[in-house]
Amino acid sequence: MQSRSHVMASQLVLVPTLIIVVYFLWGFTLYTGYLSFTDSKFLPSHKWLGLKQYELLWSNPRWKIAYANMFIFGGLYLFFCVLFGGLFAILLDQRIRLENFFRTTFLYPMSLSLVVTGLAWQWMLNPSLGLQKLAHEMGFHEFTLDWVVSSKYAIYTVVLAAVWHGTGLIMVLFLAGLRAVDKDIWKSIYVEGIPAWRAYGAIILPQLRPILLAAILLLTFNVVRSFDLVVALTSGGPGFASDVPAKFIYDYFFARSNIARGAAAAVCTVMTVLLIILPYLYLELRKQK
Amino acid sequence: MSSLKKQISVNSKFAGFVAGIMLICTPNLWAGGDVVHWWVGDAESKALKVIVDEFERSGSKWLDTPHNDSEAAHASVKSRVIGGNPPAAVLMVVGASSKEWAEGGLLNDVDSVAKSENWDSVLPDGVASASKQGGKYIAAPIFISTVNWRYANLSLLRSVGVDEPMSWGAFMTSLPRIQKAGYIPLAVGGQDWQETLLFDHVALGVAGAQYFRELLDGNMNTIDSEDTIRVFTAMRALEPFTDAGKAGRSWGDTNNLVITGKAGYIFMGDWAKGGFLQANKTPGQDFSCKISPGSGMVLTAVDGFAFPKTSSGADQATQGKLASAMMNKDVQTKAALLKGALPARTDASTEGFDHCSQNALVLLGSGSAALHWNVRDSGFKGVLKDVVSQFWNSDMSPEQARKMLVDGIKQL
Repeated sequence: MQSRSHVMASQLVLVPTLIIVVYFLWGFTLYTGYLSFTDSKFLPSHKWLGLKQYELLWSNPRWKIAYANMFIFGGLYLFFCVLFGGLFAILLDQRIRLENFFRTTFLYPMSLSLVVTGLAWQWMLNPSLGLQKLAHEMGFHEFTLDWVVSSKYAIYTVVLAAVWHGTGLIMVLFLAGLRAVDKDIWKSIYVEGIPAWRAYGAIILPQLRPILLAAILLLTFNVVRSFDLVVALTSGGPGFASDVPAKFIYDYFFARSNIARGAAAAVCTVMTVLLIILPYLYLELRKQK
Repeated sequence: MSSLKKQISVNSKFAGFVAGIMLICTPNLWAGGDVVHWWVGDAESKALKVIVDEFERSGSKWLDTPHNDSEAAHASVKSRVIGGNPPAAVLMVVGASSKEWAEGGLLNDVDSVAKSENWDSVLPDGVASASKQGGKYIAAPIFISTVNWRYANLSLLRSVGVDEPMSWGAFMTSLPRIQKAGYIPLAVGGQDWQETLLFDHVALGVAGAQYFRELLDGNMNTIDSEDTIRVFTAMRALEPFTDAGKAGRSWGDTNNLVITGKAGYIFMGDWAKGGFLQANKTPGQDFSCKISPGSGMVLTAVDGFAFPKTSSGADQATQGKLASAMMNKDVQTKAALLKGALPARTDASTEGFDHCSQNALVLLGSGSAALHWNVRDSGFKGVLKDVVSQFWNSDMSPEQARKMLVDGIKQL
C-alpha cells in the first residue's frame, strides 16, 4: 500500500517537469517546424508556402557553407577531442608523478566560457597582435600564421580553439573509465606478459565503449549549438567562410527578419544530427544489451 | 534545530529580497518610461542624458534599459511587445526598420503630439517621411547622422607631398605614393558592416549618386548592370593599399590608425570624428572631412525612438511626453553636439558645430544632395552585407559577386 502511494507521489512530482518538457521542448520544436512551411518574415505568419523556404535555403550560398562547416567542424572536433582526450587519459593512467597537476592543467580550459576562449584565441592568432607578430619580433620573418583571417582556413581555427576547450573533459571521462577497470584484468595482463600498447588496444579500450558513447553525445551537442565560440573568434568571417548553422539561424531570426527561413535552417540542422546520431545510438545500445 | 530555523529565516529574507527585486524590475509598476537603447558609448550616453533630464523635468521617471547592440535590444523588445509587457520607447534607425515594426502592428503612433507640436513644419521632408507610416508619425527623430565621410590625416598627406584628392581618380593615384612613403594608405576594418560601408563609398565615388539611389531602391536592371561590376572591380583595386591587420579589426582601432598618423585615409560615418577631436586634432588643419570623393551626395541615417504598442492610457501619455522631450529644440542641439551628429529639426540652433558638421548641413539644406540610407528592409541589407563581405574576403570575381547579389535579392 505504502509503496504504491510512494510511486504515485513520485509520479506526481514529475508531472510539472513533464509538462514543461512537452510544452517548451516538443511544443516549440513542432512550432518551429510549422513556421518553416509559412511565409513568416518579421513576425510569425500562417500563410502556407509548403517547401518553398527549403528550396530557397538550399540555393543560398551562405547556408551551404554553414552546413558544410558543421561537418568539417564537427568531424574534426569529435576526432581530435576523443584522440587527445583518450591519449592523455592513458598517459595519466601510468600513475605518473604530479598527476593532479597535469589533470588540472588539461581540465582548466573547461572552466573558461567559450566567449573568453574565442577572444583569447583570436588575439593569439591575429597576425598583427599574436603569435605571428611575436615570431617576427624574435627574428623569424618568414613565419606566417594567418589562418584566422583566411577564408580557406578560418574554420580550422574554430576547431583548434574548441579542441583546446573540450579535450580536458573527454580526458577525465576516459580516465574515470580506465580507473574503473578491474584490477584482476591488469594482474592477468602482467602475468601473461602482454605489452602495454596491446593491453590497451585489445583489452582495456574496448571496455570503454559506453564512455566513448557518452563522450560523442556530449560533443555532438556542442557541435550543433556552437555559436558563442564562432561569434567571439571569427564572427563567421572572413565573409561568411566560418559560418555555422546556429549563427545562420540566429541571423535570419533576429537580424534579417526572416523567421521562416531561419526555422527551415533549424529543421535541417536538427534532422541532420538526428540522422547521424540515432543509428549510432541504436547500434551501440543494442550491442550493450 | 536552531540552525535549521535560522536557515529558514534567512531563506525567507532572501525570498523577500528576490520578490522585491522582481517588483522593481517589473516596469508596469512604474508610472515612468522604460526606454530600451544601445547608446552605451561615452559620447552617446552623455547625449542621452540630455534627453533624460528634459523628460524627468516634468516629474516623470526614466527607467533605463540599455543593451549592447541593436540586435539584442530589438530581439528583446519584440518578445516583450508580443508578451504584453512593452517598454515605453525603443531606439531605432528610423526608416525601413521602424516601418517594418509598424507594419507588424508592434508600434503606437505619436501623431497627436506631432500635430500639436507641428513636427511637419520643423523636420526636413526626408526625415519626416522616414518617421511616418500610413501618414502618421510612428517615431520621434532626434539626430541625422551622415555616414559617408572620408577622413584624411592632413599632416601625413603633406609630409609625403600629396594634395588632398577631390575626385575618385585623384584619390586612387595618391594611394601608391602614400604606400611608397611607408604608411598604410587606406585604413579598413574587418567587420562586415565596415566592409559594406566601404562598398557604399566606392559605389558613390565610381558609379555615382544616381546608381546608388537605384541600388537602394532595389532596381534589378541597375543591380544587374555593368556598373555593379565596375564598383566591385574598383573595390578590389583598393585591397593592395590596405594592411594585413585589418581582419576582425573594430572601427575604433581602424580610426586610430589615421588619428595617430599610421594611415592616410578612412571611410567612415560622422561618429569617427569624435576620436580626432578627443586627440586634440583640428578639422581642416590636422585632419579633413570630405564627403566621399566624386559623389557630391551625402548619405544620412536618422536616429530616433519608436513607441511600442500599448493600450494603457497612462503608458500612452508617457510615450507622448517622451516624444515631446526628444523633439525639444534645445535638447536636440545639445545632444547632437555631444554625439557629433546633427539635430533632426531644421530650426534647432547649429551654433558651435565644427566645420565638418557645417559642411554636412549645407549639403543637407540643398535637399537634392541628400539620400536617406535606411530605405531597405533588413533582408535586403543582409544580402548586400553577405555578398560584399564575402567578395572582399575571398578571390571571388566581380561577375560572380554581381550574380550572387542578384540571386540573393531574388530569393528574399
